[in-house]
Order: sequence, then C-alpha cells, then structure tokens
Amino acid sequence: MNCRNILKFAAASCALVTCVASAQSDKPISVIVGYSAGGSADFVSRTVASEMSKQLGRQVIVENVTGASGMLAAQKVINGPADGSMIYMGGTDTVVIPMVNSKVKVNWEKDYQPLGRMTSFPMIVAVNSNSPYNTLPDLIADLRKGKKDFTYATPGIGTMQHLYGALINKNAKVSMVHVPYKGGAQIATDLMGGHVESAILVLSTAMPFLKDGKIKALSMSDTARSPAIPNVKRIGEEEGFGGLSLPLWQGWFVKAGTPSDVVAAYEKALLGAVNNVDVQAKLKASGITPAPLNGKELGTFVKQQAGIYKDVVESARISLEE
Amino acid sequence: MVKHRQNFVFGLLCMLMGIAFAIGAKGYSVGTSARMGAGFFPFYVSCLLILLGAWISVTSLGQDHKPEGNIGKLYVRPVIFILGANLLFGVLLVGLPSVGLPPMGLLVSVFATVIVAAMAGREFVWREALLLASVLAASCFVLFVVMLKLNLPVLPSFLTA
Amino acid sequence: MNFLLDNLSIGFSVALTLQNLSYALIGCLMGTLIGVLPGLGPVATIAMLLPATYSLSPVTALIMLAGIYYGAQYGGSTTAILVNLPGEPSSIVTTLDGYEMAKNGRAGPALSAAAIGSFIAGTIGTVGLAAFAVPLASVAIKFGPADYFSLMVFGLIGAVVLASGSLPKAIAMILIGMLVGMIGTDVNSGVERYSFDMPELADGIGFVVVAMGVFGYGEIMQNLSRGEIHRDLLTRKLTGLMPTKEDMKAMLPPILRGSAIGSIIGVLPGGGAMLAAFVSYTIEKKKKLKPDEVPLGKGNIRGVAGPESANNAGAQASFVPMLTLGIPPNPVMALMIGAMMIHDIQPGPQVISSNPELFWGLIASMWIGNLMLVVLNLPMIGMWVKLLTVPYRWLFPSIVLFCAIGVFTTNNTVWDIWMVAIFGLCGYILMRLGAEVAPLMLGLVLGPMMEENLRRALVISGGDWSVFVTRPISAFLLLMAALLVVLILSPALKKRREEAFKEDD
Repeated sequence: MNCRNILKFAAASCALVTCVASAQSDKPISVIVGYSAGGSADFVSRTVASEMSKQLGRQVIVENVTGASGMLAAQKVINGPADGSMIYMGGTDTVVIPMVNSKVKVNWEKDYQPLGRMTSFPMIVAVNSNSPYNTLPDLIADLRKGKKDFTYATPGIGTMQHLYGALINKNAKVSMVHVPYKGGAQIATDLMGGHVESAILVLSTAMPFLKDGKIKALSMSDTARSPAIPNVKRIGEEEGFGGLSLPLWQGWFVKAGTPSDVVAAYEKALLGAVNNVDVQAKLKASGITPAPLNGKELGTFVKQQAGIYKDVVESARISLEE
Repeated sequence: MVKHRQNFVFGLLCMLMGIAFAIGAKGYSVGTSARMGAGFFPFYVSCLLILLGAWISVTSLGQDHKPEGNIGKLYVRPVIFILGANLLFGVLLVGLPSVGLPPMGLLVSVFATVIVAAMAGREFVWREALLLASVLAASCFVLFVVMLKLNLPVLPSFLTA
Repeated sequence: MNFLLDNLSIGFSVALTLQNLSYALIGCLMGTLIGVLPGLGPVATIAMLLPATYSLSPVTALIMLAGIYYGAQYGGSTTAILVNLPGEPSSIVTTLDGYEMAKNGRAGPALSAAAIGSFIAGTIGTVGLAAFAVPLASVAIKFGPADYFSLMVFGLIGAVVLASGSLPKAIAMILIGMLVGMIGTDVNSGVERYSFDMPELADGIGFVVVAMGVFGYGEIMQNLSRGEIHRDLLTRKLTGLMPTKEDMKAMLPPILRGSAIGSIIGVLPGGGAMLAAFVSYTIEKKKKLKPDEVPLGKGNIRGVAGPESANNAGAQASFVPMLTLGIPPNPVMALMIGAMMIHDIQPGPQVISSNPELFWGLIASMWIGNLMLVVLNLPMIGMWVKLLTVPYRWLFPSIVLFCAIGVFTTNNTVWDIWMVAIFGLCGYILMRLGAEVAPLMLGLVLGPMMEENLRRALVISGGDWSVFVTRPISAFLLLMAALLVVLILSPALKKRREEAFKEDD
C-alpha cells in the first residue's frame, strides 16, 4: 500500500496501454447485428465477417445491438457516419417493422445503400402428423366449408411468419386464427403437443421434426421447391397465389451516402465471402441457404418483396399500435 | 396519527404506481375474452395494487407509534456517489457526443468509476482509492478483454483513431 | 437396468478421454468465472466461444459448453450467497437464506451446502436423465398454454412464501414486479406498453438490470447508510468453513427433495429450473421447524441446500427437451443446438439412436462436470470467504464496477446503465420502507409469462375460460394453488400475530 507499489502499477498499466494501442491502430469495420449472439443472424454475420476480413485485409467485427426487433441496430447505423465504418445486417424486419409501426422511422430505400444478399431460406406451414390435412388445398377447402377457430402459431406479430399466414388468409379468402408466441422455441412443443393446430416455421428448424414424422409440411414459401422436401408445393404453385414467393432473407447494407469506392470494395468482398466454399459449407451445415446477390440485385429483390409485404400488411391490418 | 411510517409511505407509493399504470392501461384496448387486449391484464393488476396499497396505508394509521416503522435518516451521500459512479461509467465508456466527450474506453471508465464509488464511503482515502482503481482496471482488462474476449473499447477513441 | 449400465459405460468411455476431460475442466472454470462476475451470463460467453468450438469434435464441443453452463450456475450461487447478488432468476431464492448465513458468519457452510447439494442433485439428475429422458420429454409436450398459466398462478402464490416480513407488503411487491414486467412489447398484440415511444424500452426491462439495481446498488446504498460497523462485524465472527455434522443432517433431506422436484419441473421450457428452486423453498419453509432451528429467511441451511439442489437438477433436466425433442428450453440450450447443427448433427429424437456416443457421452460428462465443480469449489470456499474479510470500503466500489460492466455487456448498450441507476434508486427507497425485493423479482419474471399464457390459452379456446379447469394438468395446478393459499393464510396469520405481539413488548 505504498507509493512504490502505485508507481509499479502505473508502469505496468502504461506497458499494457501501449501494447493495446498498437493492436488497434487499423480501425476495424463493425457489422451491427440487431439480434443477440448465437442466433441465425449473428451466426451468418460472424461466418461471413471472418471471411470478409481476409478479403479486405481489414478486421471486420460483429457487434450485437439488440432491441426493438432489430430496429435499434438499424437506427444506430443511420445515426453513424457515412464512411463505411459500420455495416448493417438487414433482413425482412428492416422492411416490415417500419410498415407495421409508424413510430419506427427507418426507410430502407432512402437510408441505406445495399451491399449484397447473403442468404434466403423458406418457411413452411406445418401441422401435427395426426392432422387430417396433407396439403394446403385440403386445409383451405375445409376452412371454406366453415371450419372455425383453426389456429396458426408464429413467433410474433409483424414477423414474416405472421405475414405468411396472413397472406394465405388474404389470397385464399379464409380466416385462420393467429396465435403469436414470443420467439420460436415454444411453438414446436405446442405444435407437437397438439395445443395449436398449425404453425409457421423456418424450414431448417423444422427439419428434424419433419424427418422424424412428428409434423407434416403443407406449403413452403420459397421461389423454388426445396430439395429437402421435394413433394411439398411452394406457395406460388397454389391457386390464387399467382406465382409469388415469400422467403426470409438476410443482407448487408451501409448508410446511404457512403463513398462509392468504399461501397464497391465492400460489395466485392462480401460477394466473394458468400461465394467462398468454406463459408457456404458452414452455412449449409447449419441449415441456412447461401443466396448471394450483389447490391443492385438485392435492391431490386427487396423492392419486389416489399410490395408483397405492403399488400399483406395493409389487407390484414397488421399493426403494432392501437 | 401514523403508527407505522414505513408502511404508510409504502402504501402511498403502491397507490401512486397503481394509478399511474392503470391510467396507462386505459390507453390500450381491453379486447374480448377470445382476444384479450393489451390493456386488460395491466389494468386489473394495477387495480389490485391500488387496493392493496390503500389497505397497507390505512392499517398503518393509529395511535400507538411503532419505532421500528420509522424510516430513519435519509443518507444522500451514498445515493449520489454510487449512482453517480454508475452513470459516469456509462458516459465515459461510450462518450457523450452532445458535449463533445469522446468515448474514453474501459481503462479510464474503470478508474473514474471506482474512485467516485469509493467516495460514497465515510472513510475515503485518496491513495487507497487510486490503488484499488489501478488494480481493478488491470484486472478488468485481463478478465474481460483478454480472457472473456468481450467487445469493449479499451482506450480512449482519440488514442486509437 | 442393464441397458442403462451399458449406455452409461459407452458414455463414460467417451467422456473419460484426456481431451474431453480437459475441455470439461476448461468449461467449468470459465463458467465459474463468468458466474461469479455479477451480470455476466453464460449466454454471452457461450455465444462468444461458439466459433472456437468449430474445430473440436461435437462431443467435445458440447461437453465444454455444458461445463460453462453448470459452472455459471455454481458461480452464480456464490455471488448470491456472498454479496446478495442473484445473477439469474434461479438464484433469487439462494440469496434469502444464503446471504443471511453469510451475515451470521456462516458463509462457508452456506457455500458448501450449495456445492454439495448441487453435486448430489447433479448425480440424481444424471441418473434420472439417463433412465427417464424419453418419458420426461412427453411431460414437456403435454403442457399447453392453459397449464402454463396455472403453473404461473401457483408460482406467484408461492412467491408470497419467500417473504419473511409482512404478507401484504410482499404481495404488493409481487404486483409491482408484474407491472414493471408489463413494460415493453406485448407479445399477444404487438403493442408497446409503457414505453413512452422509446425504442430501448420496446423489449422491456431485463432481469439483470433490475437485479443489479435493486439487489446490487440498493443493498450497497442501504449498507452505507447504516454505517460500516455493522458490516465489519460480520466478517470477524466467522465460524467454521465446513458444515457441521448437524448441518449435514439438516441439509440432506432438503437436497433429496430438491433434486426430485428439480428433475421433474426442470423439463418445462421457460423458467423450469427457477420454478423448481422456488417450489423447493416453499416446501422447506412450510416444514415444521425443529426446536432449536433458525426460521427460514433468517439463515437456515435448508433454505440454501434445497433450492440449490432443485436448481441444479432442473438445469440437468432442461437438457431433456433439447436432446429428445430438439427444442431449446432456454437461450443456452438454443446455442447448444446451434453447436450441434454446425457439426451436422440434427438435434431431436433420433440423436439417441443415431449418435449414441454423443448422447451418452454428454450425459456422462454432466456428471463428471458436476464432480469437477465440487472438487474445484470446495477448496475455493476458503478463498471466497476470505473475500468477505476484505474491508467493505474496498468491496463495494468493486461490486459497483462489476455490476456496471456486467449490465453493459449483456446487451452492449449504455441504456441499460441508465436503467440500472433508476432501479438502484427504487431498490434503495423500497428497502428503506422495509419491503423485501425478492418477491418483486419473481413478479417481474413470472408476471409476463402468466399474462402471455393466459391470453394465448384464451385465443386457442376461443374465449372459453373453462379450459383452465377442464384440462387436468391445469385443474390440478389450480387446486394446488388454492391449497397453498390456505396453507399460507392459516398458520401465517397466527404466527404473524404472535410476532406482532412480540415486537410490541
């Protein structure tokens, strides 16, 4: 407890400080992810970020800013500088949440510059294996005959799963009852326990139950049939759905106004990273489908999807406000 | 008048909180049985709290004063310094752009927080506080940054830029 | 029985390799470390370490992650006992008698009771898991929203038992906790309640923030207001590190009861382990006191041993839905499933047959992990108790610091730091008014779950309230809740009147 000890400490801390300073001289790029560590958005970002670091020769680190369905992260990037120091991990929520909650002032078209899409994967409409229905038309026919109180579970209001159910209600002119949950875990249990009649699940998380014969898939939402469940019709093939599709997707954006050379460099590195064999293998192993698109293509894709979301949100009056 | 002051004030606080939440709940729909609205549950919980608060306050009235129910002297010093230390940690760690304070990083924040927190005690000794702060700053660096690899800025941003 | 032995021998042959043992050890050490640090949870750590496990074999990776999970539980109870800081919902109950024991100079026996109880519970849980994993899994499936609602009713009524002071005040604290829990996005309608249009409040107020505020800062400010004499006294009259023979005798039955409760309730997704801890405490509190025994809530070793065992057995049981159904009951398990998928193993019912070495290896390593923890922790008790001899004027700035860092790193937002200050102030005021904060925490955790399941059950039943009594599980739980009310009211009223008279004298 004397002065000499304090001095020693000061010396030691100084040494520490210089060593830390040199390690941080090259400022890393942060990828702002709006969901907690360990989830699929986080996993995809981390996997792609580490490969992108190699391509750019600059550290790319993932930062989790959780809250408000990912909107805190979206806002953080908008509030930051337009110099490419932050990349925003966007997805369906980026487009849907501002549509269902007018308090959220995020406009994906104006606020961001798309870098590229990383993944796209389908959802399915699932029922318990004891259910009498084997295809979506079976169910729709019964609902039209006047079956009431048919429930579908989703991970919450304003999620893509909710939109998928609402889309079926809208286009098939039926009314299934929406049962929102808090996230996905409890849904699988309740579906298998027969507490809800159907649920809308992400295909990869539903796969083990499908393989095991505990649940059946009636419909899937992607642009093409999935090799994992080749016999399940995609929603676009059904009557009255006019070929549309409703996949979940994830992509990276930077703040609008970022210098074009920075955008071009990031775009190239991102495309390279998502096309990398190891990255693809890692993603596929976790049931995530890599689906690379460049920035421009992503913009076109999102614009087309946003039209569908808007239709469903408006016709089903999905809203997070009262 | 009031025989148990703690209970009296506690009951009043419960009523206040209940009223505030009940007013808030009025803004949300009550809904129907089949689709209960967002306002139903908080409204009834608030009402229960108001009733209970009223009961606690009323039963604390009476003539035979209970000394164990006294609230005692309120000490401002620990409140200011402990909460102040906590707030200072947040401000220093991420910076306060509105007054032009850059993020100062973990080491500076730890130092300041520990010293301010230590001031909450009655026997504050500068030398001791400085030593404690140094030890904690070093151990935080080792613990959180080196061992647990948490994503924390270590140094002030103007040194790393 | 034979197949059980066969399977366990497969398991042990996998788990007892040098590599797996060393990763189990690393996991346990890491876990203990993060558990002891207030506010840091296993979720963040496991998420950070996940990439590091990609290169390991799946069994090894899972063994290490499981080690972190258990270690964190162990570490968490250490902080709860020593400094009255529950890092997660399941250790709220431990603070009640654990911290009282520490104040009476019996931190050593309290920590040993937690360690020994956890180990015995872990052993029972492992055997239970090995023998009954499949039937237990069906319990998890049978619970529907209506049953969860009734379980929460039972739990909240039980929360009253946690209070050692005034009954109406405890109920008021539960209600306050429930209301605070209502803040944020309402699951059933998507409406943001009481959020004042602040996006930071959209996800509600986290457990860690409230716990660090009311327990951590509230307690420190309360202690400093009282003066330090009080605090320094308790460190001086430290009595023995190890539990005495009487302690051992007193804690064994609660440990066994707690293990049984934990093994069953723990399989329920969403707070199973916490409810188990909590039911165990209720039972211990309702048991008749021996003539020379300290009442629960005043530092009774049964109040530490029972809930800690229930909690650990519950943690063990929470692997059941994950391994047999592929359903993660809590975020840690979700991460574990992620770890399995990366290694191309689809979690689910087929794991037992398709990867027996993984399933049984993991189960065996759970037991080994528990053994390691008890071996690691018993000698460390001496060190922990020494921590209490550190003068309080050094200890409290450190606690403030670790709380602040822990709170910040949970979500990486500085907003939580402002919130923890607000709750610190609230906690201080409530403590000054003689209110207990443990019931508030339980209201905070259980209230929103109760509302969510009530409303979901009614959506599914089309607004028919009778589901709560026509479903057998729900009806049974409501009946139990009613019994509990009777149990609480009858002797408590009498006792409380006696206490009141005593205080008057």
